[in-house]
Amino acid sequence: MLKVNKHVTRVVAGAVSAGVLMPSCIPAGNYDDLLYIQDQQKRDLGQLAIPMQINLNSSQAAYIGFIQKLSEDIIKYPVIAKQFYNNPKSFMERYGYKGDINMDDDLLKLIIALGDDDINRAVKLGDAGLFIDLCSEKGLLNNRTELYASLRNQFDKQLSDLGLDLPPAEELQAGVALVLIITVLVVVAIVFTVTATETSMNVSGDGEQYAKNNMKQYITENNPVLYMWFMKQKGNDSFLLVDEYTERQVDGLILEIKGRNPKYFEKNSEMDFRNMLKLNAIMTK
Amino acid sequence: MENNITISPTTISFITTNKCSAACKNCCYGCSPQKKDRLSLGEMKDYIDQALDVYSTIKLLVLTGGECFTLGKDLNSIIKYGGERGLKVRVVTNAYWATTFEKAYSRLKGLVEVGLSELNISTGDDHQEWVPYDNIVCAIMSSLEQNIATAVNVETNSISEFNSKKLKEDYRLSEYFEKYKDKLIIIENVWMPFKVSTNNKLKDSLSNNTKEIPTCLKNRCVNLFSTITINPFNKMIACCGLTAEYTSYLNLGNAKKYSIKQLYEHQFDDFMKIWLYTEGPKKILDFIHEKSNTEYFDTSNWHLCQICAEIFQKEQNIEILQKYSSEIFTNVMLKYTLIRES
Repeated sequence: MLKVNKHVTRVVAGAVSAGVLMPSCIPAGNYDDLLYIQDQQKRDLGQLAIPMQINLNSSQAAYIGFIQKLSEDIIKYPVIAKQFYNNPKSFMERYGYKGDINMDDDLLKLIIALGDDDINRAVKLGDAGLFIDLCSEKGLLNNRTELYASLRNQFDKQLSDLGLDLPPAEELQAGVALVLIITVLVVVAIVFTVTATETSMNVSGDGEQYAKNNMKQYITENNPVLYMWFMKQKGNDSFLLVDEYTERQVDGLILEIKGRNPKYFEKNSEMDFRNMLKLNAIMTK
Repeated sequence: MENNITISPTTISFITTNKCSAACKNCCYGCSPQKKDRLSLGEMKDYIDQALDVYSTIKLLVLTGGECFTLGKDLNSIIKYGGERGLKVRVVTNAYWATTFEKAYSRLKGLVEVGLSELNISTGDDHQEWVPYDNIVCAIMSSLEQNIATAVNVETNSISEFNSKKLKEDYRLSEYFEKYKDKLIIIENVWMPFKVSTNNKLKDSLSNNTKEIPTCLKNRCVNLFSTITINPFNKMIACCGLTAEYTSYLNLGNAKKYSIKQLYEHQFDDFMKIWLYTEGPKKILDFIHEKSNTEYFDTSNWHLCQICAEIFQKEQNIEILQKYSSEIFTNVMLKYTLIRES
């Protein structure tokens, strides 16, 4: 059973990616100190692994400029986004560039969203909930069954100890978006792992913005369509999506637990559980 | 190459010296008391000036090491200079100087007076072989009492003995946790072993490890393109991960020979870095396996930087990427230019 430590406000675990906040990390093997020193003395200008020129001959030097302009227009004008995803090849040809763009699924979904009138309206209204609903309804959120399965397997024991025998993806209750419970699943497992070994920690305060940035990074990486919100909503309002998303993840998981294990919240406080998840979800990356 | 695809940095960070009061066995920079390489005060000031002249987006100066407190009065001077140039200033330290509360308070007071905004303290199993735990407590208390934002970064992995529990339960700190909620953050950060013996122990433990967050949740490398990082040899490096120090592709060049702007923007001529930033090393490693018809291996417990190092360590990987990158070039560039706006 999960015992929420009341003195613990948040738990941060694992690979928190924080750039210069924590510069002391990360080797992959066993390096020779001498090589390090030698390399310091060798190069005045860094070596390029894949020089841009490999992909751009001189006549295509303007190509990067074109892509950049295209991005700006796609973000700014939904009609351009629409034209582009409807037929990228002919769109490119109009600008004198031949060849196919092999857009991957994530990119395609993002551009579709940028060209969608309803989704654009939700963004304009600043309605993060409607934005998520529409992305979901239109099939633009990633239903990452592989990720869910991997996490479910990885944290199987912890979840089972919690009484949270989450079902295989295909058996999830209708209406519970898989994408919305993945993060929380990780949080539950990590929190449990951490509390089980009593390594909880108190985290507070100044890290709020940092935490929200982490969550922003997490949700956009796993659902690049959500970048759209941040492209168009600048400033603090952009984090409404983070709040809304977190809230929904927690609701989604609690709903699932109630469906699978109705007695769980007879023994455990739903409010404590909810608060713990919310506090930790935004901190976990 | 003339383009406008750069992302302006928000931070300038100096690995001020590789001299350290400690010689942690798994230190990624191999720092120790015997090392003497360092940036001079003049060099650091010059780099700040150059960077701010070009990038008004820079708001934070980070001073790390080695141990930046070994710079003595130069530490005060560079903090003062950063503050005068309108930057918030963070120092990263092992707190060796915080032997008593009084000494810690006094040392920090001098820094706060000249403009210190944030104290980052590194601790954990390796650090504590050199710096007593009580120093960490004294540093936290003296920093908070001067209302300085304080972060404690606990080096950790699945075989670590020290963790944040001790801090949380320390009766000397309980009042501070309550009173300075808005100023204190404690983070358990992955600390990968650098030495063979520790590495083997960790590898054994990883098979049963469930605490680390799976790699599948770690995609893009956002350490790139956010910070101008200069090491004690006046070399600019592309990120703060250890990979950068041992991979020539992540060494951006000599700041004594080229301007900060030239070095920083040169990295945007490297499609590899844009690809890492946009899609992350895992996808790139998968791409290599696909194109080379080699067997995929399990990286689910690997840190992002380990995967990055795995790519860069083998020259044939780079050759494969060079050969086939045109297939995904437009897709990656378009994605990059779009998410850059988010």
